[in-house]
Order: sequence, then C-alpha cells, then structure tokens
Amino acid sequence: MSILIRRIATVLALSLPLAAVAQGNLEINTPAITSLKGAMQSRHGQLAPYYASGAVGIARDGSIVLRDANAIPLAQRQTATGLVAAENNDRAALYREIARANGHPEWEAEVRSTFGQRWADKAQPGWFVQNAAGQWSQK
Amino acid sequence: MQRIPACSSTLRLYAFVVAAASLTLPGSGGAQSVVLSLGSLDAGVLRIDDLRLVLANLRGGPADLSLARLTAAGQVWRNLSARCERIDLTREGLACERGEIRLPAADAQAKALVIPLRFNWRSATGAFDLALEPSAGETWRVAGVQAAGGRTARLVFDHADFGRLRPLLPLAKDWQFGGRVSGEAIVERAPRDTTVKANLTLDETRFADAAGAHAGEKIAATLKLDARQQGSRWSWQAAVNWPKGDVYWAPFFLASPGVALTASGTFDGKQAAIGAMRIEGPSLGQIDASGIFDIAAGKITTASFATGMLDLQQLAPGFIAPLLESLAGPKLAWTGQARVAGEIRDNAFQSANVTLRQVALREAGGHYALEGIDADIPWRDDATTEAQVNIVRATLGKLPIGPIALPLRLRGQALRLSQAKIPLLDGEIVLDDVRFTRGSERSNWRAAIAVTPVSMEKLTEALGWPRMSGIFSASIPGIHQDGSTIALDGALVVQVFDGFASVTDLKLIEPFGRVPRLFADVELRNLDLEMLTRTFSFGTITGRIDGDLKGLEVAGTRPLRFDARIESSPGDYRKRISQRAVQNISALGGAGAAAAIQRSVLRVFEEFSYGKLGMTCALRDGICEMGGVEPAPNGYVMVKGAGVPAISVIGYNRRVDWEELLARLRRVTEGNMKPVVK
Amino acid sequence: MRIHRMILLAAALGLSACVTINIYFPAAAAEKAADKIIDEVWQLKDGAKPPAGAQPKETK
Repeated sequence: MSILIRRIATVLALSLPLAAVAQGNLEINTPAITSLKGAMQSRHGQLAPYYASGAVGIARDGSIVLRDANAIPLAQRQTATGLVAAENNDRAALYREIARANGHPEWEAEVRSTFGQRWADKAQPGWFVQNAAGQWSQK
Repeated sequence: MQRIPACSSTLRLYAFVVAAASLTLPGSGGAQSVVLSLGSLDAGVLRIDDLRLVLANLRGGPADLSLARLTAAGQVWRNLSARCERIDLTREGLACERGEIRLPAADAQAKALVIPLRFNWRSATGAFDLALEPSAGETWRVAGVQAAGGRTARLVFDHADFGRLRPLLPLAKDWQFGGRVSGEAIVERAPRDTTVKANLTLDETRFADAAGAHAGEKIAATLKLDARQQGSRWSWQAAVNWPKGDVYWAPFFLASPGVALTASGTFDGKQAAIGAMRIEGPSLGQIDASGIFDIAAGKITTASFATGMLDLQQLAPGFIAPLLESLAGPKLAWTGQARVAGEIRDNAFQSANVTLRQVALREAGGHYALEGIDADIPWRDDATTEAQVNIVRATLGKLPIGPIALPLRLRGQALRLSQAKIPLLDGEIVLDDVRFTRGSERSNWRAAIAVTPVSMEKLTEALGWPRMSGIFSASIPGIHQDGSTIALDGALVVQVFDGFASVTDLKLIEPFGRVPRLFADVELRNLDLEMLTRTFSFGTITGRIDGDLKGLEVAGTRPLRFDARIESSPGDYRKRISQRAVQNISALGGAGAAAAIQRSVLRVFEEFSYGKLGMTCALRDGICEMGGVEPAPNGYVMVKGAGVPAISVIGYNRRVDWEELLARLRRVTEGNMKPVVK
Repeated sequence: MRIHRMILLAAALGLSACVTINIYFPAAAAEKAADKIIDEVWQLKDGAKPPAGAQPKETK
C-alpha cells in the first residue's frame, strides 16, 4: 500500500515539474545580485588557493567549509575563517536575492540546492567537494 | 598518573624473570645459551604475550628479550625485541649498561626504530633506573627507590619528544602533538597517599586537531604541577606560563600572548573540579574561573567566571574582531573597558553580568559610531532583571544622536524597553515598547518609533545638505521584521517648504546587506516653489507644487523604479517663473526643449507668468519615461504659459536615461549649493 | 503497523511537498542562472564547458 503511494508520489514528482518548467530565464541582473556577484568574484582570488590546497571545500548545501585548516599556516587561519564566513554570508544573500528577484522568496531553498549542485559540478580538479552523504572527495 | 602502576608492574616483571630463571635451570652450568619462555603477563593496562629471554650466559653477557605482542592502552605492538650487549645478572640485581629496544616499522620499507636504553635494578633496595634515549640528546629516565615509607619514582626528561606518547593516549587519537619536554617529575607513593611534583619546560610544542580548528606551533611554556592522591581523590595545583608561541583556537589567533595560568582543583575519576583558575596576559587582561566538570556525562555541572576590567582596545584585535568576523559581522574599532562575569549550569548560561565603562566603538566604514557607553547589564536565565545602558553620543552617518539612556528589562532570551527619549538635534526620537526575542531560528522584534519635531534647518545642516526650513517628524506605530525585511507602519512626515512631504509604506529589504533596498510611497503637498527653487539654486519659481512618488524602489542609493509626478497645486496663487528657471527646466527636458520662438522673448524679460507646470517620470530599467502637464505636438508641455508675458516650455525627449537626467540636474544646480539664508 | 502508518504519512508528506515545490520551481532556468553566476564568480571561460543543465531535470 505504502509502496504504491510512494510510486504515485514519485510519478507525480517526476511529471509535474516537466510540465511546469518554464523555458524562460531567471532574473539575475538586479543591483543586489550584481553587487554580491562582484564581491564574491573579488574574494575568489583569495579563496582559490584554499580550494586548491583542500583547506576549503565545496559543501553540498551551496556553502563552503573550512574542512582542513591544517593546510593553512597558523597565522592565516583567522583570515581564512573570516573569508569563509563572509563568502557564506554573501552566498546566503545571493540565494535569497535570486528567489526574491523572481518574485518567489520561498524558492530560496531550491535556489540554494541548485547552486550547491552546480558549484560542486563546476569545481576544478583537485578541489574537495562534499557528496550527498556528507563525505568529502577530491575532484 | 597512570605511570605508577606501570612502573610497579615493570618491577614485578623483572623480579619474575629472575625467579623463573633460577627455577628452570638445574645445575647444568656451562656456557650454553639459555632460552627462557616466560609466557604471558597481564597487568591490567599492560599485557605481554609470548615473552622470551635468551641469555648467552647465566652470569651475564649478551641477552635478548623478545615479545610477540604488547598491548597497552588499547594499542598493540607486535614483535618487539630488546637486546643488551652485556647483561649483569647477579644476586644483587640486574643491570644492562648498553642495550636497545627494537620496534619493527609499520611497513617493510621503513627502518625499524631502535631506542638505546640503560637499565639497572638492585634486588636489595628495589631501586631501579631505566633510561631510554630514542634520539641524540633526548632522554627519558625513570628511577625508583623503595623506602620504608613507600616508593619514590623520579622521571627525568631531557628534550623528550612527548609526541611519542600519542599511541598510548587513546583519548588523543584525533590530535597531533609533539614537542620537547625537559625537567623532572617526582612521584612519591606512601601507604596513605601519593604525591606528584612536576616541574617541566616545554619547547617547540605543537598540537593540532584533525580539522585544524585548534592548533598551536612553536610554543614555549613552563608547567609546574603539585598533586596529591588520597584514596581515589586527587587534589592538585598547577601553574602554566606561556610566553612564546602561536595558537589558533577558532576563530582566535594568539601570537605569543605571554599568558600565565594558575589553577587548583580536585579530580576523582568522575568529576574534575577547578577551585580557582586565573588566566592573565597583557592582551587578555585577567580572567578568574572555577567549575565542576562531569567526566562521564561530558558536561559542565557548574562553572563561573569573571574578568577584571578588560581594556577593549587591547582585547578587540585578538578576540572581539575575529569573533565578529567569523559571524560575518561588522568591522568595529573599540576603546574603553569592560568586565564580564557569568555562571554556567549543565552546559547552559545561568546568569551573566556585563559592565561597560567609557566604551566607544566606531564602524570601519564610518557609517556609525557610539561614544561614551556606560552599561550595567545583569542577566538571569530565570528572572527578570533591569539593565541600564547609557550612551553619551551616537553618530549615524553625519547625524549626531543622544545622549541615549536605555532602561532595559531582560528575561531569558527576551529584551524589553518600555520607553526611551533620545534627543535628536532640537527634537526627540521616542522609542516605545521595544521588544526583542532571540529565537533559535530567527530573532524577532517590534517597536514603535516617533520623532517629535526636528527643525529642518538643523537637520539639513547636520547632514550637510542644502539648508531647508521646516520641520521633520515621524510616527511609526509599528515596525515588523520578517526574515530580512523590515516593514514600517505609519508615516514619516516632513513639513518643509511651507507644505509637507509624507513617506508611507516604508519597507527595508536586507537593511544590513550589501545593497539595502528601500520601498516607499512619497506624497508632496503644497510645497512653496519659491523656497524650494531658491534652496536648490534653480532660479526662481513662484507658486506651489504637489507631487507623488509611487512605488519607489531604491537599491543602495540608486532608484530602481518609481512613478513620479509633480504638478502645480490647485488653487489661486501667484505663478511666476524666472528666466533662469525656464532655462533650467528646458535643460532638464533635454536639447530643444524650449521652443525656439521664445528665445528672443526670453532675453527681454526677467520673469514670466505661467498657468501650470509639472513633469512626470516613470522610471524603469534606468530609463525615465517623461511627460508633462499635458501633451504637445511631438512632445509634452512642462510649463504652460498664461498671462503676460507668458511662456511655455515643451519637452520632446520622451525617454531620458536616469543617469543623464541626474547629470543635467547636477549641472543645473552645480556650484550653487550654498545655504540660502531665509 | 505503526511503522506502516508512518511510511504512509511520510509518503503523503513527500507527495504534498513535491507537488507544492516542484510545480513552480523552474529547475532548468535556475541551473542556467547558477551556471552563469558561477562562471562569473569563478571566472571560468565562457563556453569552455557546455552547461550540463540544458534539459529539464526533476528537482528533488
């Protein structure tokens, strides 16, 4: 009985979005999004070496994590912690702003998970990404 | 502390070896080698399997000890062996002047670890002396003396790398550590009690947890420990001095803080109690703490701490700034003094007291600053308390506010302010019924704010704007926050230029974000154009004007969209416009806005009369869709002439870039932003 | 039996969650937007990699 219901649920889940997905683009050209993008882009130069060394990894939930601070010289860890916090703050704001710019603030979680997937997919070889089970692997 | 039973079982082991040797050897004599299989030995924390001793000669000479398996503290070593070049085996005891322990390497390629050792045991006194030299200049030495009153063990370390102990400490398996320890520890075991006195110097100490969130490097420190065991209870006193070395303890980085710690307490296997702990350091000030830790449950049963008067300027770079940074908070510069005390029960804060004296903080971007903060904030988890926060002066942008006195009522996670009147120039900001509740997911708050009349002269002067006369007031009976959106009920009302402007439906999105957004509707009624145009050096227009700014949306300082309309107010009044104002309006309308025919007329008269004037602008995507008071052929009428001499200004550009329009407005009023004395 | 009922409940919840979320969320458009932003933030070359989210996928 429950299996049947789950199957129905799955079928519905699979078929409904196909019908509903619009071909259009999402609005991502608001001043807030542009500003967040710019801030993240200029921060990337500082974060890139940490991605490469595995100190910072791409988390599943669309954020980044200081996963192995031992790869960073002691005196720089405070700065790295601050960078990660600032990046995650901007990323959270970005997901919120995209959802809001498209008139659906409630989409925030989906925007976040979409980004989570895409950051991981686009991560460069050698970077660490987190899988759905929470484990880290190197691309 | 667990060294002691280990020492005594070592002792027993050797005694057993000698006894076994004498038992299993009948008088065969001779110089044949002797193999002693000593079986297994289990001493609780230490288990040895298949122990063999091979002696070349019973009197002495080379000896080999091997064991198949050693289990200690949950760790297993296989195929260990020890060799002594010349073992002296006599009735008086056992001695090995030159020996070595061989530990097989983890993999076949690596070399086995060979540790030189010396050993001496006297059967009569029970005294023993074991020295290990794992590397050049590194010595671990244990010496024991049996006396009538008990036993004394002396541990002497000389540049001993205590990282070697890591496999013995299962609790520390997630930590990397190492460093050199020198000094001695004396353990005296009497029938009634055991005392430990240690005086150790640590050098080149490093530690790190698996994630690197807690790590230290190049630490030099001294440790002095006095401990005494009675029954199952230890009481101890310790002093640690940490003059050199770096520690990162997320999110704090401490470089050679010169911290000194003294502490005393008790320990009984279930509970660790710290009776008095004091931490002192130049960047840290002074902190006193005490507490009881339940080891089995892994929680703080009770604890309390109190700081001395901390110098925030000293403390901020190391402690406050990194904490705020790790929360993506603002960058602030601090001065002044603070004292913090707190009590913890079952891992949760029970009470806290914060005292601030002459504290000043300034946001790095200069957006706001607070000066002369004096605060006494007592807080109890289970009771209502009254807190007082006084701020001599606050600055918001260029606007000075204060002095501010906030009587706060605190209870648990909630804060309440019944009323505060805060001077703002010649008026007041009145906060009413401010309530703040911190939730686990999100915090929520509400408040009512009113601004009693503030003169616009003073306000515009303080903000560095062109001077305007009039009054500013606000009445916002309700502020609601929903996530990152703050909505204001009520209105800001500015009585200015003899008319009024009101701002309603105010909404702030991401007010603390990178690009704060503001939504509002603005209504202007009956503004005196003469005062307005003079203030902004726009020429002179006599008359009155109404305006509406609907659906205003501002991102940062840039308007994104609105529908604006300004038009002469209804009613009967003098309507004159100066030559310069005509030119300026024409300039706003873009090239060719003023009809060519009128140019000659323009030069003749200083002033013209008009019937009505106005403009509309619908801003979308950076483009202002312009219009006037009524349509004209191929354009729109901005000033409609009436009377003598009459003048009309007609605009032809319907779509004007917003930035371009602003630039025109700036050109028109440029250099004329002098305060106009009324 | 209780477990059975809980599975039923979970399925029902899952069903309603899927329905309310998935009907509206334009997954493909979101992926396209994400790719565009990520390329800019990480300064990846345009067109170096074709966007993987070109065709609609279910979002779960």
